[in-house]
Amino acid sequence: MACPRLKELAAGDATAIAHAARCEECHALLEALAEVDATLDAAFAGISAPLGVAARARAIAHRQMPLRRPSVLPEVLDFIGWAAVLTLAAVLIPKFLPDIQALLARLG
Amino acid sequence: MDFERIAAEYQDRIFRLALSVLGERGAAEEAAQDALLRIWKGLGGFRGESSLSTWIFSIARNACLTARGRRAAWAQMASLEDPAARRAAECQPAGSPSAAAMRDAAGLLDRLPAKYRQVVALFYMQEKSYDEVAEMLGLPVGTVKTYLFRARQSLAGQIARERVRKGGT
Repeated sequence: MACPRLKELAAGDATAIAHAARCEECHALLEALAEVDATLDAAFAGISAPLGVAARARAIAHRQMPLRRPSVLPEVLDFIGWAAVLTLAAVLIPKFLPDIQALLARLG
Repeated sequence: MDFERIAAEYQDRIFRLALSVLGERGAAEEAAQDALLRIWKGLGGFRGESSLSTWIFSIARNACLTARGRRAAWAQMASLEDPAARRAAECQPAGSPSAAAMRDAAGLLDRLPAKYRQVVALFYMQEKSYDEVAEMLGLPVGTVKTYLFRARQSLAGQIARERVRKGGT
């Protein structure tokens, strides 16, 4: 392997490729380069991920996600509602109690 | 960007990157799955300080390196405990249509220094795009070109010499 144009040939230089038609050494290297390309293309071109890789990753992520603590907002709103009802009752019942008692007495 | 779109757009490239690092489909599939899982978990924290693809490939590279380290550790343990188990673990899956082609390619890549193998395999997987290989491996484009040039020259030189030797005898 002594031809000075071998390096240019490996780099794909057009004049070196033309030179390879006349130089046995360069011609052999050019053929070998084509063989390398063909072998690696046959093995690697068009490789894609197996089906379901992303779906499996998503499923694992879902399994690993901690259960979210439910919100306490409904309980707080419920408490406020009952507090309001009881407060209203505490204010209104004493105010109207005599009237209610009078009504009940009249009916009884 | 949501996970579904990222997975659809990047899963092939992540798998190829994993295959170029690990050299075996089963291990590459596991590593790609792990990378996608890490992406899923980290997506909420992605602030756009780098481009999305740079972020994705750095996660994928880390997942592959973790897998490679784990495999090396397991192989070492298996060799200590059971040589037969080690041979079985290293056995390549056969029977797929490209098994022969993969064997030929593995034979070629074995002739190369380790730092060139990954670049060469990924280059042929990625439709010979220097830019994509550089981005996926986090290397400058010039380095990728240099590695590929040297690798192809070395392989072709070896094949040509073998031919000359065979022709001469």
